[in-house]
Amino acid sequence: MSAARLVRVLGVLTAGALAAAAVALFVGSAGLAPGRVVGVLLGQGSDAEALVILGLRLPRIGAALLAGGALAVAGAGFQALTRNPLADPSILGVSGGAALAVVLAQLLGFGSSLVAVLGVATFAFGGALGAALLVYAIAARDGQLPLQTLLLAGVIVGLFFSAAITVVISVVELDRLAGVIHWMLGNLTALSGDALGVFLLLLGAGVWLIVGRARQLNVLALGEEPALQLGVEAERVKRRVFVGASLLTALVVAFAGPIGFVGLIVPHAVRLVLGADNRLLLPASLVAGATFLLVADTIARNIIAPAEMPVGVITAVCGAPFFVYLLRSRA
Amino acid sequence: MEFAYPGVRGAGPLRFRLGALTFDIAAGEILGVVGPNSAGKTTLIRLLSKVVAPLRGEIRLRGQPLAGLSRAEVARDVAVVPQMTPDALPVTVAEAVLLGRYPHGSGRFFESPADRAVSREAMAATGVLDLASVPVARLSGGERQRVVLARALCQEPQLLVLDEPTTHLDFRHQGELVGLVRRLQRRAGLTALIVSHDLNLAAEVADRILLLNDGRIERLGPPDAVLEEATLSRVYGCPVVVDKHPASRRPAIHLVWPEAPDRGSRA
Repeated sequence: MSAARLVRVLGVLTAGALAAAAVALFVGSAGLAPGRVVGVLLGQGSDAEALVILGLRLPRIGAALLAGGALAVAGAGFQALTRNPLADPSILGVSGGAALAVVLAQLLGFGSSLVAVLGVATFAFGGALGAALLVYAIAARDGQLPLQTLLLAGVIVGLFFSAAITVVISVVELDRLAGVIHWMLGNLTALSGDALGVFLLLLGAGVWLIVGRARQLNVLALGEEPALQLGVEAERVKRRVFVGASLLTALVVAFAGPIGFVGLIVPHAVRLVLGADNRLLLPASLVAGATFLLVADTIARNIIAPAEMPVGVITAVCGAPFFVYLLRSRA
Repeated sequence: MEFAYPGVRGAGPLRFRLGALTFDIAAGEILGVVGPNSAGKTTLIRLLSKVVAPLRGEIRLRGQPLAGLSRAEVARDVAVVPQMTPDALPVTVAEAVLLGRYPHGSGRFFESPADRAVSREAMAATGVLDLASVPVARLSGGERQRVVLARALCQEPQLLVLDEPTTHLDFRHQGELVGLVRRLQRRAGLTALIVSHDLNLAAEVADRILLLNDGRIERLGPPDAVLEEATLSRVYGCPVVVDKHPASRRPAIHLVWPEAPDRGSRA
């Protein structure tokens, strides 16, 4: 691995992301002609057109890129941490924990101010950390995380949290949890400027926490004891990556809902093409995940227009068969 | 390198079964560590490589207590070749060997050209340079062993610790490994600690042998002196005969296998 290769790969992937973003800007249920879109971008459109393009589509594209990148890096991070390519925030139940926390935060009546955005994100982070610790506590045997136990623990914890959410929804009048069902399916919305800013900042922190330890994660892939013997402070690295991956998961859940399988599909596809070196895999997953979720969301916006499909449905339809394939091919 | 670990037994969460041990390893020496199951061989490796810390006593590396050194500092001086595991990383030989450079630049994100040069040398020394771009998963057991050895040499250690280096290896590969260790000792002044169940391997390659029993040093000295019939029979709790290897004239140890009971004797 060299810096030159990293730059080359990221250059190609970023070009792809920009191309996808350009396409996404031109398609939508408003049915604006391409010429009108260009007009708006040049500052010549009507107010209504400007609202659609700059107020709806552009922030939505931003949200999709951020959420996709965050999920892919979180997935790759959890995979490196558990030394298990089947790990993913949704499969490990981490998304579920964050989702419960977000539902509770909404009950507390956070508005849409900057403080509220930070409040919901903090709640989600707490929920994600709690769920991840719970899964770890259930699955760990003498510091090892056996595949079957880990997956089962994740499923159980995930089921528990979705049951808890159902309880909350049943008890509370539904109008206090407006749109919660739609959100639960994983649904990107156009984020406000404040929310996008917070999202971007915390995403940067989460990515830094994980990618900054990519070389250590490579060594950790040898196993705990060999990593210690090669000079890696394994516990410190694992804690840091654990916090980073939980943070990224929480952000997506807070801003877009529990979107599944992105963290599973994207790192695996990147690994197949580029190899397992985390120094390349993690940054490449960031860009590829952003592109993947943007494409999925663009499909979700348009496939049953003027209605919208939750993007989580699209990723699950792609992801579930993919998961089965991975599980079978390991045997 | 000195090693002192006075009497702690059965205490603490990890239940070290190591009692009072004091020994030192001279530069350029190959020390064989043998002993029955649960004599403390694995714990010894973990202590030497700072995977676990001693509950009492201290381990010194060139006069410095191990406890005061960072893991990277320890890894620059002590490299461990672990027992072979069946699963392999999805990386190439060159990538796997380069992991051994981590302790020499733990703050860097990428390896330096100097790191690459050292890893090429290490691959050449263990004869895997031709396999550099081959995925580790496609290698035979003997080849994988040499990749792990190259990774350990990449650490440029003062002390190389080999944990059961010949398990899962057939005769030819065992021979090649011994040849390699001897070449490294002769040419590069390698200091090594070889932990093995294989008494004959230890007798063959070690300058001195440390016989562990129940966490204590039973004997420490040249193979001829340590590997005696009476001592081994007592420590292992079974009859053993020792003669000379017809070719190398080193001690050759044989287990006296229990005979089948007489047909008539079953009551």
